[in-house]
Amino acid sequence: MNAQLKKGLIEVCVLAAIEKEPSYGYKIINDLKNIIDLSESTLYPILRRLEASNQLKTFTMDYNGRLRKYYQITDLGKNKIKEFKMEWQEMESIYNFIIRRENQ
Amino acid sequence: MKKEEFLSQLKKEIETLSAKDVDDVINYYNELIQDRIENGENEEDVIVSLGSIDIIANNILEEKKNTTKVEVVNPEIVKEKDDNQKESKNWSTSKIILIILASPLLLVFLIIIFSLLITLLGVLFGLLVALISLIFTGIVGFIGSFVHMTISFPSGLIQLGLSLIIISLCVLLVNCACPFVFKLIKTGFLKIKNSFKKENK
Repeated sequence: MNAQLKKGLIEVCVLAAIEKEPSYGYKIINDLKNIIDLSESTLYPILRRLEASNQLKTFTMDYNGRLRKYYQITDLGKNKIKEFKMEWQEMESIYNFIIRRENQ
Repeated sequence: MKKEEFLSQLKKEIETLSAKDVDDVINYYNELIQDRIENGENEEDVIVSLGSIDIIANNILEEKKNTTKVEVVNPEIVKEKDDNQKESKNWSTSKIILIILASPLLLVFLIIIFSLLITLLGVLFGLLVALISLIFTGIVGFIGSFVHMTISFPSGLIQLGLSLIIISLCVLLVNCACPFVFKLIKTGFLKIKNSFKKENK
């Protein structure tokens, strides 16, 4: 898949993984394991980027005697998901256009 | 390789980043490795699956470089900065016009401040004179009380006591208030002097 496109898609996937409730690194990777190829080292910069653009915020909580960092979606992040859904309709019509051309 | 070894090697590779960023990376990997171990994975296997430290470190450093680059190059932000600069320039000219228009007002304001200062000095001078007269009263009363005592011992004694009280009050005033007042005058004077110097420059 196109790297730029994939980057955008992973970002939305990560946002979707924390949309319902705050989540942590290990859980995010596990939740997305079957959907998109995502390793620990690819997730890290995405989380940093989303935090820097205020699409998510972080907090730490005690777990098993150590600290665990949780990622929580913000309104901006929720808007991003909405935007993606709208863009997807546009993509779909482009896709349909391409397929129709091929079939002609 | 064990977790601690992995983390310390990674730390070395990214040490050009700020301490905060390094901590963030290390905490992230520490948490993830710990989570995977607690979920039954073998420590050595987990480290192997993370891949080469060089690549991980490179990705982090590259990402950091890119984000800072984007901030500088992003044309919208640059444009915004330009707009801000223009705005500040406009503001400064309007400020100058405002100052010119308000100058009569400023003059009145300066006169008021000057007269207030003179008043303050007058009050201070008045207090000083009062203090000096009080000292005189105390001393004269003290000496006079002995003469008074030869005429009427009880009332002379009262005068002695009163004049001693006055003298002690004067000593207290001179001791406590004077350094304070002098300091006030000195700093006030210096400030006025400095502001004049600045205006001349």
